[in-house]
Amino acid sequence: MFAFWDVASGQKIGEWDIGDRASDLFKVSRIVWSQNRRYFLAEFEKDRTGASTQTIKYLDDAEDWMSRMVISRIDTRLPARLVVLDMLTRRESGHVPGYTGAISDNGEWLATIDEEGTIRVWRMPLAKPWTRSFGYALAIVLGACSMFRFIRWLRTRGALRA
Amino acid sequence: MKRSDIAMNARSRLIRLPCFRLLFATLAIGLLTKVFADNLFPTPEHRFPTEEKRDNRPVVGWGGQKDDERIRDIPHVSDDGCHVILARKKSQANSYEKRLTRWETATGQECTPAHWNNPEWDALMSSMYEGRRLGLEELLSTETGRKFVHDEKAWRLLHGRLADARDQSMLWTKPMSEPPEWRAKFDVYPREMHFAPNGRSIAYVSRDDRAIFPHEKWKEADGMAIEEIDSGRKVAFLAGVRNRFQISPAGDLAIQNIYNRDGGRDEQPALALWDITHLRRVDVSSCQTRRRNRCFRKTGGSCLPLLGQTTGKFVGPHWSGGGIHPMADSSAKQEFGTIGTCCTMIDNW
Repeated sequence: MFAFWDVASGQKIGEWDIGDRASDLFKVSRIVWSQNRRYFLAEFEKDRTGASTQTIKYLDDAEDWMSRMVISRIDTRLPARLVVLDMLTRRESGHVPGYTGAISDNGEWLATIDEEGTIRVWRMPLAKPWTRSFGYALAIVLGACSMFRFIRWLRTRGALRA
Repeated sequence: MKRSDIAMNARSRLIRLPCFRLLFATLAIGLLTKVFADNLFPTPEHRFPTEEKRDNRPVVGWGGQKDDERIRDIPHVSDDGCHVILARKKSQANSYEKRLTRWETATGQECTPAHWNNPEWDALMSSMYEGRRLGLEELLSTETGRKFVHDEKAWRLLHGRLADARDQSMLWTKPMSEPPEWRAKFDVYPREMHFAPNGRSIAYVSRDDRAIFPHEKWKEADGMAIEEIDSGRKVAFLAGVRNRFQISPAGDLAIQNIYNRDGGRDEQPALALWDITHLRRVDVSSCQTRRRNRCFRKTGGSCLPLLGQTTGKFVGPHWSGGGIHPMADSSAKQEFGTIGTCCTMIDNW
């Protein structure tokens, strides 16, 4: 949750619920504004304090077990992330990998650096990767179809042999 | 069953089944595309590796600070997206060294200006002693400041002038002993030096119109001089100011921390706001903020001493263009201070 305040009057002027982006594993470490004040970049870091909001004991136990078994193994590779919020449309513009970033003064470019030291530069506003997503979806559906055909072929072949 | 019925059934199966499969496949593709588009990262325009890997060792040590901690930050990306400035900070127990590098995004090649590799330039970014914060990073936040940072000639001119002033001051007050070699690169700069974020002036403590350098006693200073970087002309002198202050991006205001005001050890630290143009102190306010927890708005003269992460209290006045708006304590601000772990200042909502 982000809260916005008018410093002159001390009044709260708005809130922004970022929902599941702020999970127990992540906390907002820094916020960056573009000079033109259109974009708002929230840097999410892995929360090392491990604060939990669960209050049901069994769920807590299950979560601890999961953390030990699964998350602790991938924790070191769990990427930090940056969420870009568009103040004009009051919507999330997108999220990008990296633990810190900067927006150019004219608000047209976003540069980020990730844990491996890779710098990425995006054009703003962030566009959803429709082409890539379509490619992946097509590959999955075609793969599934091929698999079903292969299974059917195996079954037909087995039936013929029998 | 009649032969015609069997044929019809077979025909309808032949037609319906592929249609159903096609429809199902289309829906699945559409749904998966949406899911992927919502969750995949967008495709970057440029992407290149650097050697700046992050240190992911657990936080240990005094005050939660890692020894030899390496922090990366991107202080600036150009308006055309062609260049990125990367800051690398190497922390040790009570000091840090920071280095800036410049990268060309299209080729992924480093194109750091030559003078950024000078030890004297490094000294500007470091805090090897006295916790120096010379304000070089703030230069990157303004257009004119960036121009100065990239201008090797202007830098050489300033550095040469300060080195001459230091040599002259050595004639006046010879140091008792030779400073250690590692400190030589820091001794070029006057005490309490600070760059104005617009890159047009520097401030430092002086006495009798002469800068006070590290080999001299800080207490000898009688005021703060503000000098134009280009010409070396003194534009202002604030008598009695000896603590380093932070100049606003517009260059007309400055905020100064006052510790132990009037010599009283138990007194609260205070913040003073100076009007540089009219050479007068606008206001002094007691506050609990630490030095780092204050900021000027990038585009103007407003200053807001921010809340401290340690105290979690939102304190201090809000100064705006000379007008003062004291912050009355309220439950809303307490909430802000308690919940917020980081905050920023915005111009408009």
